[in-house]
Amino acid sequence: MEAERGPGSAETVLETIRSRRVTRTFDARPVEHESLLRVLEAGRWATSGGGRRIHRFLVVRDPGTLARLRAVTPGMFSAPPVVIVICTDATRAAEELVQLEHDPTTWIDVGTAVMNMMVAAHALELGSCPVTSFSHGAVSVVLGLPPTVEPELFLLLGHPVGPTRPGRQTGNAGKGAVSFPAGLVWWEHPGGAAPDPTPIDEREAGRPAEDA
Amino acid sequence: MTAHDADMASPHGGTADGPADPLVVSESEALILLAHLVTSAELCLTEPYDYGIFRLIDAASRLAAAMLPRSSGESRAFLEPFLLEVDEKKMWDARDRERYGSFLRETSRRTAEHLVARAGGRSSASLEPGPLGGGHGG
Repeated sequence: MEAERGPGSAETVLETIRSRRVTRTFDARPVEHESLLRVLEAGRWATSGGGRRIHRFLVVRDPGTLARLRAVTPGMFSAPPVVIVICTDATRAAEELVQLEHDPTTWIDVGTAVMNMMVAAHALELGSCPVTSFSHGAVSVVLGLPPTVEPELFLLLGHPVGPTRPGRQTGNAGKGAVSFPAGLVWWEHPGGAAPDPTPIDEREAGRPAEDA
Repeated sequence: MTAHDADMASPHGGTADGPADPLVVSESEALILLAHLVTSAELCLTEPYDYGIFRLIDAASRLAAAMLPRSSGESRAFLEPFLLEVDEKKMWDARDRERYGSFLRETSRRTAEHLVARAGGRSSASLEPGPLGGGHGG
């Protein structure tokens, strides 16, 4: 099915992006399997440097494993029902001739995947939280990861408890004119101010005549 | 020296001829907190400096939560509001040193008040000096 595109669907997507917040506490309800699959699908469709797909999504739902994972993950403030561990598969990277030590796309692809999944989770009325504050060595032990699989980032997933905190950088929080926090966007050169949105023709028409 | 002072001085929480404090944290809970502290220390190697402050107060919150169900009524009366307040304020932005510092100083003061109350109301000024003469530990 061809996805609808245009101003109407764009506003739906943009509003989903704008209203998403990090969820730090989750209630005890499990994540429906269909919703979990759709979140994973969103990760699957994220951009991947050169289409090489060197990452793996490890889904953890076992309560005992989650408890041990939390013990070695100071950035996990509560126990969610699901953790998706985004891992780099060094074996796959070698097959694809990726230079893990030098290629920044290997990390960028973690970010694109998790962002897609967070937006999808929000659209599915789930809460999510990315976490990188964990001991890589300890997590590898807890999850029984082989040395060729490196945990990069956790995505905590579940039903949020209470309202989520507003973001630090809110910019324009709703529809209408787009605005940004000062200094976030540079135009044309470092520190460049936003251009005058008036079309050039109209600006020319309003300009006083110059001396010959 | 009160029985409570003796308990605090003993690594096992009791003496042969004095009453021991009840154990309020299980071995599993202690191991989980141990793992949290060790991994938090590792993360301090790479994370922003203010995260370390958060990790410690978060560990205190986790310890308080583990202690709460088996604590005495006296300690529960201290721990319940402690947990409520710390769990809210620990999420404040620690880069706001004035606000975060005020929260931590107040929490420290209240914790000390509970310690003193449990020891029978003796303030630190009346405690005997330790082996180092009561100076700073570092």
